[in-house]
Amino acid sequence: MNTAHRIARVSLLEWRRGTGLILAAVLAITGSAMTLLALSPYTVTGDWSASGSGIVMWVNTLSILLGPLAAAGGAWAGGREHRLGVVELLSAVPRRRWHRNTVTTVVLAVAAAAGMLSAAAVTLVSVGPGSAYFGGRWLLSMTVILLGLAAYVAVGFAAGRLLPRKWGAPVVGLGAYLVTGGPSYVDPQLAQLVPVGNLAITDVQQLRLPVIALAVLWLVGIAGTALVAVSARRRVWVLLPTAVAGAAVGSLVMATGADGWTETDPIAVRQVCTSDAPKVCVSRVHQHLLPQITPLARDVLARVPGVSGAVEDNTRVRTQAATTSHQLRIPSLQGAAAPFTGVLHDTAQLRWDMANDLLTGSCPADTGVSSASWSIAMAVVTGRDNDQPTGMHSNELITRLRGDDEAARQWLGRYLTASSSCDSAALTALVNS
Amino acid sequence: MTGLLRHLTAREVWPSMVAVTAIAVVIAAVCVSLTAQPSLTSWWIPVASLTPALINVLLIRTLAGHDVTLERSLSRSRPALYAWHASGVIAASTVASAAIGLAVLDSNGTLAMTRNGLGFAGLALISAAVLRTAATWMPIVGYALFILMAAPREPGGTATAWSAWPTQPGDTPAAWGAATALLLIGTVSYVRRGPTP
Repeated sequence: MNTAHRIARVSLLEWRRGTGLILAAVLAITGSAMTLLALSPYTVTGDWSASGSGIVMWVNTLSILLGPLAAAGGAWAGGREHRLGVVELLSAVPRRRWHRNTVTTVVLAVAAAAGMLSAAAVTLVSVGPGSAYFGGRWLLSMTVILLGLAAYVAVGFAAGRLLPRKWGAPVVGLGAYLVTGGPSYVDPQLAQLVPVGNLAITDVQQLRLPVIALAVLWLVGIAGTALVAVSARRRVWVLLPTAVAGAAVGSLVMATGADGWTETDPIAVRQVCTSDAPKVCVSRVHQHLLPQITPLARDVLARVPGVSGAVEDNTRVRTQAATTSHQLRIPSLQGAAAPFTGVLHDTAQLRWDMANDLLTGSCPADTGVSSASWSIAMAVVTGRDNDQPTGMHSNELITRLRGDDEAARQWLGRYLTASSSCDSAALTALVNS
Repeated sequence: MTGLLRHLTAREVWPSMVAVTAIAVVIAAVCVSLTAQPSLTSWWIPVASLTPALINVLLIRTLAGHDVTLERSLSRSRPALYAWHASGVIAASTVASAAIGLAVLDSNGTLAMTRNGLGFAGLALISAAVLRTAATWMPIVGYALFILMAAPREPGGTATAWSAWPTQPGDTPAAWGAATALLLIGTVSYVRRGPTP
């Protein structure tokens, strides 16, 4: 039997009779359950969307729980020899310790990866049909997360060997959870050094290439340090992976000080527009939602004069009133589609958001007249009554404008001019017209 | 008296008590530093969920001795012995959780800590009665971590309060119901069956 056969046989044994299969099943079930619970009440996918980066973003969140569970699994396997009372027996076998430990750790890391990928598959299914965008270095980001999971397994394995065997695995699991979830509250930038769960990826933000390379070195260094610390006959070898990890983390902290770990994915934010006017544009990453958002945006565009088209804004931050740019701002569509169908949910709210962004003036003081005129404008554009101001005259005005499209366009045009220049007198005249 | 002390030593009660006390001090210190940062809110939820879980993981070894099979050959009534062991874990879990709550949390948080101390003790008892000793921590840690991550962010709804009882405020009746149910089931099953070898 050659070496490859032997390794395969031992790995299979570890997978079936050791912790491997159980760990994979626990991670798959836990991750899938979290995914399905996060979808509840099944109106929008919310935390992810139909793109490679979107799914990795959710897998990154999943790993806040799956990583510590993998670490606990590693610690459980690491404490196995003590638990079964075979430490002395195994010290007498000719097979080297690092051989045995490496096989166990690698099999557990593969098992953890398999469990997490199963949960990722459930996530992928939940985004439903439609041409999704698979770019933004999503495969590399996924690799970084899986390597982080492997690092947790290795650290857990080493901790299981070193800690008192009674409490090893649960304490490692809870400790890893605190290490994973805690630092983001203190310093989100530094928290990204935690092996899993803290990458700031979004639909349009991708990891920078040098960061990926350094993160891989950092994670391999952590895993190597843990494994060598409990495996090598001469402990001095531990300095080698420690040096790799140290150099990588030093470069990461220094090189990514100001501009962070991520950059905008230029292809994901590229505008994809309708061919006919008025133009409605969304980011490439949400291209499959363009046919659905177009009628909503055009409905608003048709009611308001002086606005030439609509553009999706992926910043999720309201930078300035869209009235000055003469473009209707579509809010970020990340996670806005319903699960399994890919249909945009709550189109009324999307329409309200677009109208609100367009009609909210940039006047600093929220005077009574500006809020009253805003309410009338919103009621006319959205057709919803919950923004209506109280008052007989306003209600009559709204009813009149809803019945006469041309009058409504003129009124809204004057409203936009008056509200962008904060002209209280003109606004008062509009409210009383 | 000497017999009792030796029994406690054999059940590894002293290292468990030391570990629980140490953990309680560390968590209380962390809570004090968290209180000093007004920008952080809702941190009592992970504290109130994970602390009683960790305490019960540390206590759970006292529920099974070194040799469960040998213990079953005792000539005296075993349910009475199991009842003592169970009440010890319930008392230690509840007192330690409530003490941390009293020291660093508000009254609602303290109520939640006390409830979770009772509920996780019940889970520990069920776990000890059903699983073999080395694996008894798995349901406790697994459930505590999972429900903390997966519980709906917006509290409300009886179903949520039942299933995610560790994350609910201290004045939620359904969460108290869930914790009490676990405690009852755990006590009955452990006292009747004893630990699994």
